[in-house]
Amino acid sequence: MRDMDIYSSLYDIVDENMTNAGQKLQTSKELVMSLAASKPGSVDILKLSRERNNDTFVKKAFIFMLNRQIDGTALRVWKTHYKLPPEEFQRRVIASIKESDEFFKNQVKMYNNIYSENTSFGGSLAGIGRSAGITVPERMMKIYRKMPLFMRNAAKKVLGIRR
Amino acid sequence: MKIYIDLSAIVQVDFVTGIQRVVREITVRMLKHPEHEFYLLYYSFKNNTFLRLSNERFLDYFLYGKGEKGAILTPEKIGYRDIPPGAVFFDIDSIWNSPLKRSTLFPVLKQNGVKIVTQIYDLIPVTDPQFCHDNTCANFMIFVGANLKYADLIITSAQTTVDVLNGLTDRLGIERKKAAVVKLSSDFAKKSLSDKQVDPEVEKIAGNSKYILMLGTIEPRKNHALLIDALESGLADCGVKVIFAGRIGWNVKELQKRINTHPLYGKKLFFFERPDDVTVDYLYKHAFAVAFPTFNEGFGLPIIEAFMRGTPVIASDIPVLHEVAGDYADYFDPHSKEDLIRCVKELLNSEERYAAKKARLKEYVPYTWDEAAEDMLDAVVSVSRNVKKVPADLKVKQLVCLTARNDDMLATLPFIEEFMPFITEMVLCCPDKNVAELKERYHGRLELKFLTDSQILNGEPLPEDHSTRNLFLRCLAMRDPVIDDVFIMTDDDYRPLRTLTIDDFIEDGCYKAFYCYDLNEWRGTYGKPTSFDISMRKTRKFLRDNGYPTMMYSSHQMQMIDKRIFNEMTAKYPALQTSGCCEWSTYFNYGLKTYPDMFKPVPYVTMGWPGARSDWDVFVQPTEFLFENHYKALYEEGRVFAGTRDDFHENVAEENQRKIMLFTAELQKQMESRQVYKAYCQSYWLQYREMPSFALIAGNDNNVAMCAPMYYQARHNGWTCLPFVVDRKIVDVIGSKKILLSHWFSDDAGHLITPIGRIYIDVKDLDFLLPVKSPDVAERCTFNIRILLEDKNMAADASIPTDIT
Repeated sequence: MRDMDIYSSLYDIVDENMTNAGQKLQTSKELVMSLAASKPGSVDILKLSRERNNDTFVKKAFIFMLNRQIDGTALRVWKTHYKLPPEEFQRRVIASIKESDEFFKNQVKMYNNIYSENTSFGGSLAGIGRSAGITVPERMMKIYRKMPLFMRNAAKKVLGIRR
Repeated sequence: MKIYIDLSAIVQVDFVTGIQRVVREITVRMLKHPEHEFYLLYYSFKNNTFLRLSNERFLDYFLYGKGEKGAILTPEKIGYRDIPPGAVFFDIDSIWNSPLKRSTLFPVLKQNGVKIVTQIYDLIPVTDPQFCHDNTCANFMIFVGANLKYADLIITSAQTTVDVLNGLTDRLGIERKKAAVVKLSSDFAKKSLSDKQVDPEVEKIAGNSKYILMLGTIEPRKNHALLIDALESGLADCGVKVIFAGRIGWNVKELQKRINTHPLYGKKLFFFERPDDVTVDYLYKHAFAVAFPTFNEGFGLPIIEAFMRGTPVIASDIPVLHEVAGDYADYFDPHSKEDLIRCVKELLNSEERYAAKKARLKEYVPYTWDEAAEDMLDAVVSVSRNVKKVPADLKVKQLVCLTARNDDMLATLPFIEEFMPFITEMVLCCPDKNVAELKERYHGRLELKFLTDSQILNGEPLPEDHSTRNLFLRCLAMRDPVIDDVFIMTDDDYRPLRTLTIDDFIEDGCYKAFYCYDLNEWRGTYGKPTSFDISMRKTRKFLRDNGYPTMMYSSHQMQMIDKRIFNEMTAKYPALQTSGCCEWSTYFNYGLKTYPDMFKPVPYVTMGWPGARSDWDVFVQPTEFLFENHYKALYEEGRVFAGTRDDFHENVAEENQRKIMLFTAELQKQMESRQVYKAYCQSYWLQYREMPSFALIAGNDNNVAMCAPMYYQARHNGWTCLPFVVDRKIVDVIGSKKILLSHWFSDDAGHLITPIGRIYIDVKDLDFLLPVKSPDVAERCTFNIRILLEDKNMAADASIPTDIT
């Protein structure tokens, strides 16, 4: 039996036991499969972007980008954006996770970020990488990170940040 | 024996109960065995590697209560590919929530010939998922699934868990796992009890009164609600209090509220959160009885802890608790408060009965942690006991070679004669027409035996494809009695570089299996996959489909083969012989899975594989070279062996050393290019929080664009393999089948400074490595990529500012 078949069959058994207990598993089989297939340390946004369902996408994004399942608080926040078109939703999710301390701390290697502001695009495709979705503070942080050290220190001084 | 233990969970949590206590008590005792080497590990997600824990500081902290927990961690990195063959990886900690999923780790460990032993405390998230957090269920499914597939031994603390495990494997239709039961103990933290004070509040409430104690994490599975129900239904009138003690767990808000607002709270019902060990000890000793109304359990440590203090136990009538408590405990239905009340009343109403119970508990002989640790270690070590090994007195005298090229074969034979003195016989599988010439031209010491195509094929047609033909012929030849049970398989262009002995092929009673790649990572020759590449893909599929490891053993060097195992494999998979798979990789991966103690995977030792830096990206860097994969082209002007001889001559040993130096220097250049690329990626990541990526992507309007990094860096005169991805939509939706990729470097004026590299992308392989040769001199320039969908008249390009170092 192949690895994924074992995980899949186990899911069915757990799901059945949960149903017999009068409850429902909140995690879908697809997510468990994603979790089983997730390799720590890297994520391919192009592959991830093929998921068109916003709910599944954000759950998968947490698994692949942070290597953990989404927490209740984050899920509640993202649920309020489910009505957005997938491209816009995905752009916001990716940008938000990418800017998080957790993502930075874990040093997950992000590949093929088609929503990146930092990618050089060439060709006939317009607007996929550069439109909205990045908040003003995020933009400021981006500029800040690109500054030389003396400018960063000066910026900290101006803003009254000691550390 | 080398034993690796991942202790990532216990190092992170700030409490020691249940599993953490088991991990602590077992590990500190195991470390006292000097005959084994213990590597305590902590998984660092940031580095995606294990960090080693200091054994001494672990003991200091967890056994003697000295030092800081953070000081246990050392900077020594142990990658999971670094765990050596024959070692044991022992999972005893609660690591199912670890970011390093066992679905990722275990296949790698098995590929490397590492034994896996896992302690499974219970299967509750599978059998009773309603009692667990959804995330725990999901993580646990993967943990259990990986163990069902890859573990060599599963240790449980009760036979009941083994029975559940067997039921699970039976239901999944997979082989039952080898299992061992090691009971747990309870003599916890004796040393730390003496100098601490009992919580005075506990002493005030518990002293001089009858109380039923329920100790353990507050969570739905433990069924605290039943005791409250019982209190409300008459237990309160029996003159006993109920005391809960433990940590607040998951999904108990309602229960907490019920406890805190209960009219009997503070009178007959009490809750002490996270009592220390000395208070727990006090509570156990002074309890009238300990109640354990759990719905399901892996072992039930509180029962043993109560017994050891002579306190009677009333427990759920479930198999695992009967196994643990036997007839020392009384049992009730965990779904019936009436039955629980009956149980308590039987003890309350008969002093004689209660006294008899207490007296009986004096006979209780506890199982100690020392015994548990000894048994656990014995079980762990057992995976390498009484295993089938290669006989120590094995004699090998035969080389078997598939050849259709007499000149190549005859040029190689003197190297074998010179450097492989133990070989006396050569079986040549060759076309009939080659035999006479070989016999006529060869006059060396080796006895040549021939297996001609007509003998081997016996009328069957010879497949046209090179790789298919190779495996087909080897499968048929292997059935011929002329071939010894154990021999060395070779090709006509594999040449030994120095004197070899049988020990170069056998180590620690194992056949060495020389690997050069992981088939999962193999991309092959870019753009136009060769017969070899296609064979590798087929092999990968065969191995994956049948649950074997996926290392690539087609290392273009001699390897020792056990014909009986090879024939066993082809008998098991008859379709294999015409499948076009790789004979080396199928055999060794089959052998490693089926006879793990007879094979030892080691990095390959071949010079000339790859022949050129641009052929493919090196996955394993050989540390020594024992063989040359002879490519005539490498001796041409401008190539790595230019100016050296490739024929056999009297100074060949010295010349081989020179060639090794030349090849090592060539390999070093590739490594340096890779280092520059790695440093570039790291610096790019720090700047942009993403990796530099090259991709051709499709938008919603079916138009295309190049996604490329903001800048690029490479080593001068080096080959770099750039990961390149083409969005599947371009083939599947836009429908392009003819995608031309061109790339070149240009100077500030736009003039070409390197030739234009052109390649058609293989539409079956859209995720590939693009070999790019950088300019010869260090300078600032532009790296240009243009992609043309020739059949759709669409194009995309990118010009990337580049720094050649």
